[in-house]
Amino acid sequence: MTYVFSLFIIVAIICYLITGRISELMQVVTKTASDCGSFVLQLMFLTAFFSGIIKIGEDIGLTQLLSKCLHPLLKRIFHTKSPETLQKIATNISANMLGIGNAATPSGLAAMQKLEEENNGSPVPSDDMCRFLLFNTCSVQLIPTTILGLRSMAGSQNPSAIIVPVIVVSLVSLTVGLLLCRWLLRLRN
Amino acid sequence: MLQALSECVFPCLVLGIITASLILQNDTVRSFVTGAKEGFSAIFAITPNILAIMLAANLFRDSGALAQLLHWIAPILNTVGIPEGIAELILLRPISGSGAMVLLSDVFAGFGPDSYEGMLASVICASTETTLYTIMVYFGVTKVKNTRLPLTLGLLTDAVVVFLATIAVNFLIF
Repeated sequence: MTYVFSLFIIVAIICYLITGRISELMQVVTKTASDCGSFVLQLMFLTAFFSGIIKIGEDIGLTQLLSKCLHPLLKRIFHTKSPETLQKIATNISANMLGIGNAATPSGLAAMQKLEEENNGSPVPSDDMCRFLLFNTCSVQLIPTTILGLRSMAGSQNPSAIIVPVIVVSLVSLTVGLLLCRWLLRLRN
Repeated sequence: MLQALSECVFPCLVLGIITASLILQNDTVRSFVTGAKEGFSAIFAITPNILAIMLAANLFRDSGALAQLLHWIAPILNTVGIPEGIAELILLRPISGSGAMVLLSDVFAGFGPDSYEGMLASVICASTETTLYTIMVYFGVTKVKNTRLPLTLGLLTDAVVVFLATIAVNFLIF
């Protein structure tokens, strides 16, 4: 990210200098400051609302329920023998599906540590680590609350129109990802 | 039909959650307030990141650098069927989550959230993750040095999402 940030700004300033419009730079900075204020404020309240609803679900045990449902399926995907590891993986994936970011990361890191023990500190990621990372780099979130929020902030007539396409695309891409993963692992091993 | 289904998912989820919470005699309001507080602090914590990427993106765009870059890569985009308006967003999505949020709202401001570009950008953003960041954080707790395979896999899957999203938006929405 550091590179992207620096590169963008350096290239931009050079472009301003070349085109002789360097005086415009300060206007952009000022405009950004005021845009950022209203954007963040609105986003903050929207996120708070969605997080509130999701938190109720978390408190009544929705994550555990989902993780129980996912267990049989995950058992076939991951090769780990340890039920504890699988439990952590299931919790992480359920939290991700419900969009509970601050529950997903701790359980995900715990799952990684378990997988690390099974991998004996090798510098090469184990097969299960690759599969687990795939679940986390593919978005499995069922309701994309942030995107819904941004859409309604922009005055969409129907912010939810994307939900079904998103679920379809996410599921298909995850399946393709798992197949790709199997293929890449076979090439490596 | 699909439209109606899409519209019902979130309200039904809220209805289900609140009803279940009531039946299980959970302190619903306290749960909501705790969650809302977490939501506030989550966004508050990334405010500086949002400002950073907004500044960089606005300067990059206003200076004309973006137009030049898009001009160079336009032939590639046309072959794959990606509108120019969302190219910047697709490139930034695996690197920065807050950056993608900023650029997504720029796409909405430029084309409208219900335009083809707006819908496509929404579906892509919602179906992908901050791949590079996730890999960095998760392997951070291990001794793994060689992250080439998960990285390739993650980025390939992101490309699959872009491809699938163009199909999904064309067939399921428009």
